[in-house]
Amino acid sequence: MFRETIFPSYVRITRASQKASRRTSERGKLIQTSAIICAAIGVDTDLTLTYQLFAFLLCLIIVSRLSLRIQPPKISVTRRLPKYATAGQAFEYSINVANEGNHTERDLKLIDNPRIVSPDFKQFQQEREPGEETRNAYDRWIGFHRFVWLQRRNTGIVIKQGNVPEISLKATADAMMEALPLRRGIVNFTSTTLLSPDPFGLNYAIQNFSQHEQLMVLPKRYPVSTNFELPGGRHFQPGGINSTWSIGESEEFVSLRDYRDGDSMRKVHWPSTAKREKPVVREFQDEFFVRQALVLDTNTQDSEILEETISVAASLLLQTETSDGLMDLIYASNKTQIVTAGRGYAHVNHQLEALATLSKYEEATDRLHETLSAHRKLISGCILVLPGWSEAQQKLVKSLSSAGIPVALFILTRDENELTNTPARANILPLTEVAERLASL
Amino acid sequence: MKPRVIQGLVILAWGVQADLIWFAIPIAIILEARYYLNRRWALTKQDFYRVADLTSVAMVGMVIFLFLNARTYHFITTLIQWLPILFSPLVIVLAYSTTERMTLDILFYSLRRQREPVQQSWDMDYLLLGMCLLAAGFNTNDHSLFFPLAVIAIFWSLYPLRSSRYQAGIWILAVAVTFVSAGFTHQTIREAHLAVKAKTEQWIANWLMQRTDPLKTRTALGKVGQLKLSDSILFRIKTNNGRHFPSLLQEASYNHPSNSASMEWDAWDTSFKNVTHEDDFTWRFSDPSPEESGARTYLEFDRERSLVPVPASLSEIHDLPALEVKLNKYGTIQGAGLVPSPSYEIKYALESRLSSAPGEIDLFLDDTHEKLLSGIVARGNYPAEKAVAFVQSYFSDFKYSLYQDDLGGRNPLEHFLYDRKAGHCEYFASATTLLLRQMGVPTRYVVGYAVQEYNPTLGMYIVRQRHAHAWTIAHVNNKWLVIDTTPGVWLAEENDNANLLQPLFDFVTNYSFMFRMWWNEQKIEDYEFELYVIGGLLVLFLIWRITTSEQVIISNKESANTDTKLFGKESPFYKIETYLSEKGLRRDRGELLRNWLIRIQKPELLPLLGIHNRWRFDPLGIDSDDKVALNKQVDTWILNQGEQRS
Repeated sequence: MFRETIFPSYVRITRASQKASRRTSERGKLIQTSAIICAAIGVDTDLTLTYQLFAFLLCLIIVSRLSLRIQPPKISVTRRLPKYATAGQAFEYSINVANEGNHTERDLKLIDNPRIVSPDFKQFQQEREPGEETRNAYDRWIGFHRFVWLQRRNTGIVIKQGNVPEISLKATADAMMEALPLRRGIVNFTSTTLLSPDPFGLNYAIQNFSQHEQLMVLPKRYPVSTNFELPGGRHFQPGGINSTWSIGESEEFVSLRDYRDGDSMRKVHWPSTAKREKPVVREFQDEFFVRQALVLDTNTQDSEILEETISVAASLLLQTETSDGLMDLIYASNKTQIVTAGRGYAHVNHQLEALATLSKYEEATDRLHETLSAHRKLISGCILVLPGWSEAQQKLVKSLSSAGIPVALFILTRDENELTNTPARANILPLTEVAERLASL
Repeated sequence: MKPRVIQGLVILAWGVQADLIWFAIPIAIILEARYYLNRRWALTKQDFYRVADLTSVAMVGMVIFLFLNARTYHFITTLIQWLPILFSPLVIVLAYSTTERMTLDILFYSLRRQREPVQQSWDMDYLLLGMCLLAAGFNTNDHSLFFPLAVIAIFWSLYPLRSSRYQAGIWILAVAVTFVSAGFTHQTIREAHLAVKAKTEQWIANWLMQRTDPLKTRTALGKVGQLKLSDSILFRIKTNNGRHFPSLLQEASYNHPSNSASMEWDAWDTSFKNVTHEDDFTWRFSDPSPEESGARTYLEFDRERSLVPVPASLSEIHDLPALEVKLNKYGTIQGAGLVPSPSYEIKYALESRLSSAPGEIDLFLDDTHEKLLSGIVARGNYPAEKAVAFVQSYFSDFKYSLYQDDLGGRNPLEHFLYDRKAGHCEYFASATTLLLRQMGVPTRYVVGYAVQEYNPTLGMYIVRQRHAHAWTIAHVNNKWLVIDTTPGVWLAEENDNANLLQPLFDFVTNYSFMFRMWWNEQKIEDYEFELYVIGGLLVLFLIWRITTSEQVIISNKESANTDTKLFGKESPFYKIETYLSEKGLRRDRGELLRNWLIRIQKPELLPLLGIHNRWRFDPLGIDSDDKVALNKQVDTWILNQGEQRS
C-alpha cells in the first residue's frame, strides 16, 4: 500500500535527478555539495567564517549559470546507428556534428537519449532485482533500487557521454558514442543532447535535437561447439548437396540392380555392366532436402530462464546457418510462427529478429505440439530448446521421437538436480554454465 | 589534475588558524613531496579498507574523547578542526599509491557488500582541501585572511580545469565578477545575521521561557480546574556537608504586578549586568566568606532555558561553561551561550546577597489591588516585623488546593482572599507580596523550586517539576527575608498527586544518572597510556602492511607510461643505431631497420641485422653463443669505423 502511494514519485525522482545531473559537471556537483555543507555549518556567523565560503561558492554557481548564455554553439547533429546490436555487447556508433556557427567549437559533449521506459506498478511488484536479498532492509522495503534496475532494463541501453572533437568553421566531425544494449528487442532513440560548459566547467548549457530512430538488439549469443551436428542429417552423399540449386526433390544412390525396360540409359552403371556382361543400372531413392526445425518453447514464468532459452536458440541458429538445407524456427506467441531460413529463403537474421521481440507465452507448449504433429512430415530433424521439463514438454519430446524424428534436446534449468526422466542424450544447461556447456557439446 | 602547491599552502593555513601547525607541517610536506618522489605502492583494495577502518576508529575515538571532555572542548568546532588530521592518513596513502581516486566503497562501509563493483569515486585531494578550508573557518579571530585564501585556493584548483571554449579574458572576467559579488554577499550575510540575531534573541527568549522569563511571569491564577505538574526530575543536588542546604532555589524574581485581572509579574528594571569571572568557568557574585558551603547541581535534561536556579545566598558558581553570565538587580542569573553541561558547582553563604536594595517600585500597588486589599487592612506604613507577623497569621487558616472551581466572574485574587480561602502557591505568594506592600513593606515575587526530597541512595536532593514553587521576599531590617505563606502541607499534597509508577521511573532514572556520573568522571587522562599504546600499535600495523606491499617506480613524465617492455631490447645492434645517429645518419621515425641500412648504404650490416632480428622476434630466441658473436661483431664494426675516420 505504502509502496503504491510512493511509486509514482519514483518516476519523478529519476526524471528530475537525471535532468539535474546532466546540467552539472562532477566538479559542479562537488561545489554545490560544498555550498550546502558550508551553509549548514556556517549558520552561526559568530562561530565560524564558513559563511564567507558559502557566499563565495554560491556566487560561483550563479556566475557559472549566468555565463552559460555567452557563446551558445550553433550546430546540427545526425546520428548513424548500426543495423543490429547484440544484447550485452558494447558497440560504437557515431554522431555527425556540423558546425554552423561563426567560430571554432571546442569542449562540447553529446548525450544520446533513448526513450526511458519506466516499469508500471505490476511489473515492479512481480520482478526481483538480481541480488536484491543482499540489500539492506530499508532498501528492500522502499524498492527504489529495484525500480532503477527495471527502468534501466526496460529502457534497454546505456549510452556513455561522448566528446565532440574540435570543429572548425563550417566543418563537421564525428563524435564516437559507446553504447551497451542491456536486453534484446527494439530500442527507441528519441533525441540527442548537446552540452556546452561554462568558463569554470561547473555547469552545462543544454540543447536538444529531436532524432527518433530505432535499433534492433538481437539476443545474446554463445559460441556453440563445432562438434554439434544437426540431428537427422545425411552424410556421404554422391557429389554432395552443395551443387544443387533447387529446393525439393533429390535422389540418393541406394544400390545396383538389373536393367529393366524403360530405365534411362543415363542410369546404366557401365563398369558393372562390363563385369557382369549384362546391363546393370544404378538405383536411386527419392529424397527430400534436409529440412530441420528449431523448436523454441517460451512457456516459463522465470524471465531469466526465458532470456537464456532465447539466447541458446539464437546461438544454435547461428551455428547451423552454415549447414546445407533449410531451417525452420518454430515458436508460439499467440499463434504458432514458422520462420524459415536457408537456400533461397530468408537470412538467419530474420530469425534472430523474430527472437529479439519474442515474449513468454503460457500455452506455447500445447500450441507447438499441435503444430508439430502437422509439420513433422516435412522435417528430417529437430532441435528442441525448452525452458523447463514439465509434463507437457515431456509429451512434446515423446511425440517427436515416436514419429521417428531425431531430436537434439536442450533444457534450461536453474538446478540440474531437479530434473528427472530426462532422455539420456538431452543437453542440460544450468543457468550458470550455459556458455561452457554450449562450447563443449 | 592535482591541486599542486595550493594544497600544501591551504593545509599550512589551516594549521595556523586551528593552532595545529605541528600536525599541518608534516602533512603538507608529505603530500607535496609526492610530486618529487617517484616511488609508489601498488596497494590493493583491502589495504585501503584497512586505512579507512583506521580512520573510522580514530574518528570514533575522537568523538569519545570530545564526549568525555565536553566541558573543555566545543564538540562540533573541535571535530571539524581535527577532520583534516583524521583524513590525512587516507589521503597520504592514496597519494603514494598507484590509484588516482578513491572509490566510495572505501569510505562507506555499506557499499562494500554490493555485488557490482562501485564505480563512483572521489578525488581525496580536493576533499582534504575542502576540509582544511572548512576547518580554517572556525577560527574567527583572524577575519581578514580567510576569504582571500579560500578564493585563491578554489580558483587555483579551478584554473587548470577551465573550459577551452572561452578565451582567457572571459575566464578572468568571470573570476572578477564572482570575487566582487562574493565579497559583497558575505558581508551582507554577516550584517543580516547580526540584525536578525539582535531581533530574535529577545523574541525567542520570551517565547521559550514563559514561566521563567527573567523579566516577566504569568501565574496560573484564575485558571479553572485541576493544576497538574509532572513528576519528572529536573535536577539533583549533591551537597558538600550532608543534608544542609537552603530549602529554596530561586530562579527569577519580579517586582511589578502588571496585570491585575490575570495576575502577571514582571521585572521593572530589565537591565542585566555581566558577572566577572575569575578563570574560564568560575563566576563570582560576592566576596568569599569563611562560612561558605558548596554543592553540585546535576541537570537531568538538556535545558534550553538560560536561567540558572541557585540559592539566594549564592556567592560563586564554578564549572559553568557559558560565554557570559549576567545578573539583574533582583538576583536572576542568566547564562548566555551555555554549553550543554551535565553539572555545575555552587558556593553559598548564610545570607541572601543577590537581590539589590529595595526601591520605590517594590512598594507599588495599582488601584484595583489597593481597593481589594483595603478590605483586610488599610494602606499605611506599619512596622515591618509586625506586618510580617500579621500576614503570616492572616494566611494561617487558608487551605492549600490545586483545584480551582469557577470564579463566577470575580477577580481571582478577590475570590481567593474572600470566598474560597484556598489555592496553590502562586495565589499565596501573589497575595502575600501585595498585602505586605499594602502595609508598607517592600516585597518581591520569587519563583523557583523547593528542595525537600532527599534520596539516601544517591545521597542527593532531588528536585522535580512539581516542586516548582513561588514565594515572597520582604525587606525587613535591611535584609531580604523569605516569607512563604503557602501552608506547609503543599509538598505533602503534591506528593499525594504523584504518579503510581513514580518509584519505578525513579529507579530507572536514578541508576541511569549514576551511570552517567560515573561516565563523566572518566577522564581521558586516566586512559592516556592505553590510548597511545592502541593507537601506536594500529599505526605500526598499518605501516607494516603498507610498506610490505609491492612497490612501483613511476616516472614523473606522463608519456613514459606508454613505454612498453621491448623484447630483446638489450640487443647490441642498437649501439650501431646510436653510433650512426650521432654521425648524422638518423633513422626516421617508424622506418624499418633494413630500409634504413639500405638508404644509408651500409649493406655490410645486413647480416648483423639478421641475427638482431632473430634475437628480437624469433620465438625460440638465439643461443648465448650467437649473442656473444653479435656483440663482438658489432664492437668490431664500430671500432673499424672509428679507425677509418681517424
